[in-house]
Formats: sequence, structure tokens, C-alpha cells
Amino acid sequence: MESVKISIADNFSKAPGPRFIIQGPFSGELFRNTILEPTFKQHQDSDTLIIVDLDRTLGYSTSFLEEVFGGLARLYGTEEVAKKVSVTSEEEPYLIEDVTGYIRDANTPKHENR
Amino acid sequence: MMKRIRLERQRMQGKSRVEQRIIRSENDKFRGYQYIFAPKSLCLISNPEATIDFINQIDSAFNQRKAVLIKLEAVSVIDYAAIVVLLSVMFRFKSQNIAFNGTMPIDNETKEKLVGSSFFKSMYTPFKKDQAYQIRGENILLCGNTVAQELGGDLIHAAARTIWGVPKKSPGMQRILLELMQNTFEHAHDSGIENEFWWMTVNHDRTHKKVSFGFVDYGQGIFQSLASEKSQDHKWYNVIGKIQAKFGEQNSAELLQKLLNGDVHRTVTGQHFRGKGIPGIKEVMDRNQVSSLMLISNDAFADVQKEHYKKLKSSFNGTFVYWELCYSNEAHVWNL
Repeated sequence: MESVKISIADNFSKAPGPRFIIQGPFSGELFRNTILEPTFKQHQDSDTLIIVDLDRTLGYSTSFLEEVFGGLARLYGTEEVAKKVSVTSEEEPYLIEDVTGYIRDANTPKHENR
Repeated sequence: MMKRIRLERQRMQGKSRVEQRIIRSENDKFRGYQYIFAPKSLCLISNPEATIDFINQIDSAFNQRKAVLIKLEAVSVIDYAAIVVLLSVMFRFKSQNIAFNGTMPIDNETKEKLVGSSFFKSMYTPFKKDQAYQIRGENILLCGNTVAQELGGDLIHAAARTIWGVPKKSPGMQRILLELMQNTFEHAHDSGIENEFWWMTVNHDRTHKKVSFGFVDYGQGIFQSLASEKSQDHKWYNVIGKIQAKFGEQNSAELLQKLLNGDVHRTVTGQHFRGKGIPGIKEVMDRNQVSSLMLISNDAFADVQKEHYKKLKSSFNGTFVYWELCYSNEAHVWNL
């Protein structure tokens, strides 16, 4: 299967910021709008997998990652994003499971108890 | 004459004989100032109740726009947490042009610690609006009014040299910084406050190879924020009511524990994908990326590492978070 790789450190910022654009520079919203979503749309109808490399940055807030991946799932559907987008991290492998959870939970109805 | 006597009596009300003697002997230039006496142990971490009481007295004077004279003579021990909280409160006086002044501790070690922390330099150096943050001295006192994501790099790089002798990065600590700065921004935004500052203190202990950090967001606190009016689509809309429906009556310490464990966001937030910031901070400690995590917010005190949660008698008008980075914590090669 073909894949296209996005490195947050190389393609966006070594110091990712907050959730929303209004909150500060290099936000999750900005990354999704300018890099991830265009790439997703470009390959939406193909078998190409999008792999996002989370390594070599200073680190992430939970809200940055949730806005990127959960936000994408809220736009295009959980199932669609889950099968198309994956993340890699050797430095923080627990982030892979976190992101999987953000995508899975992105469209859970309000007030649903877990 | 009678009016003067009555005013004098009001001024002395509640004061000990020693305090009354001090007040009387003070220079006339502080006539009209409210005298506020600091406790002997001005330590937010080890003596939170008395320290918060002291800060609240200053805050009360601020709300009444009263000039204050902060009396520090009796202070024999002070921690950096108290210094940075005091600074954040005094800065509000300055920003509102309310007069304030203070006296120094008589104890030399305490005095040197206060001066060495750059408290006074920080007080009188103006904050430039085009800067995300300012470093104001040696032990370092910083402030900012935005989410300064690049700040972590500078702090962690310097901390790593103290601890490991080489530059390293700490994604866990970066997460804590981002979450805290973002919370400050969010609560300011929710409250319609334009220039809300966060403050930090950083203390390098080269002997024990550890660096301690304190972060203050003064002004509201987690529980005041949760209880305040919100729109229905806000992530924390009616969260107190929902928590009580789900868990029964909770005091703030119990609630803080649930917030840190992620129990609250999982069950009661209107936007279930929000509110992960506070649990995310605890996860950093659970992963051994930082140590000695402590929080004080309103009347809740949490020593997270020791799993000790306590409801305080006094309520702190803000949130204070403390953590340490030390030799045994996980860190990564500096590859930026």
C-alpha cells in the first residue's frame, strides 16, 4: 500500500502550540487546516495511507493532538479517518494510542457516559 | 480629634501589641495604607493556609482599591511559590495604579532569597506587549500573556544542563507548560479579560541535580471557573451539577482528584473530547516524566505524587502548579 508521510517537526513546527489558532502560533487547528486536511482530501479516494510522524518536536499538549486528529474525524467521519490516517512515534509511543482514542471518541454523542 | 481616635482604633483592630507598636512607629508616608502582615513561614507548599490567608488579605485590599504596605519583617522562611504568587498579586496593583509598598524580612537568608529571586526587578520592569514572555532574572521569574510554546525549549534545555550535564528535551514537561498556559488563556477569554498573565518560577538546585518549577495563574481558579456562568456549548457547561448528579456531593479536593484522574471529562463534559488537559498533566507524572507534582486551586490542595488531597480552610484565588524535573525522570536526546 502506498503511503505519504508528514513530519510535524519538518513540515510544521518543532514547537507545536495550543488547540486553536486564536490561542497562539503553530496550533493544532492550523496544522490540520493547512497540512493534514489538504493531504487527506488529496488522497481521500485512493488507497494511500497518510502517516504522521510525531517525533523530533519539543512535545505536545493533549488539545493540539485532539484538535488535529479528532478534529479531522469530526469533519470527515471517524471510520474514514481511522482507516486513512495513522501516527508514528518512537520517542512517545503512548501517543499512538492517545491519537487512536481521539479519533474514536471524536464523534461520540454528547453526554454519553463511558 | 474623636474622629482621629476612632480611625486609629479601627486601624489597630485585630492587631497584636507588637504589630500595633510597629504601625505607630511607621513613617507618616504610609498613613492611609492598609498594613498586611506576612506569616513567619511564607511558604505556599508547606504552609498553604496561612500563606493563602495573607495573599487573600492583599487581594481584598486590591478589590477595594486600597493602598497596601506588605509587612515582611517577621518572615523567616519563604518559598519561591509564595514569591511568585506575591509578585503576581502585586503586579495587579501596579497595573491598576494602586499604591503599594513593603518592608523587608529581618532574617538575612530570607531577605537574600527574596532579592535574589528578582522579585523587585520583576515588579518594576514593564511587560512589552509584543513579547510572548519575559525572563526577569536569575532564579528565574517569568511572565507571559499567551501560549508561548517555544518557552519550554529554553527552560528544559537549561534544566537539563543542571540535571544531566547535557541538553535534553522533556515532552512531558512541555505538555504541562502548554496545558497550563492554554488554561490561562482560556479562562481569561471566557471572563473577557484582555491581559491575563501567567507567572513562573524556576529554581535550579545543582547540588541535588533537580530543577523545580512553579506556575501561577492568578485570578480565578479551577472551581470558580467551573461554577461560573457558561453557554450551553461550553465544554464545562453546568459541570458542577452534572458531577453531583453522577458522583454525589463532592468537596473541591475530591473533585480535583477526579479531574486529575480523568473521571470528570469522561462522564460529564458536554464536549467529551475537551477537558483532557488536567488529566494530561497527571499522566506526565505517572509516566515519570516529572516528579513531585502538586496543585493548589481555590480551596483544593493536591500532592499528586503522594496521592494526598486536602480541602483547605482558605481559598486561593487562582491555580498554582508545582513540579520538579530530576535525574531519575525520563528525558530524550536533544534532537531539535
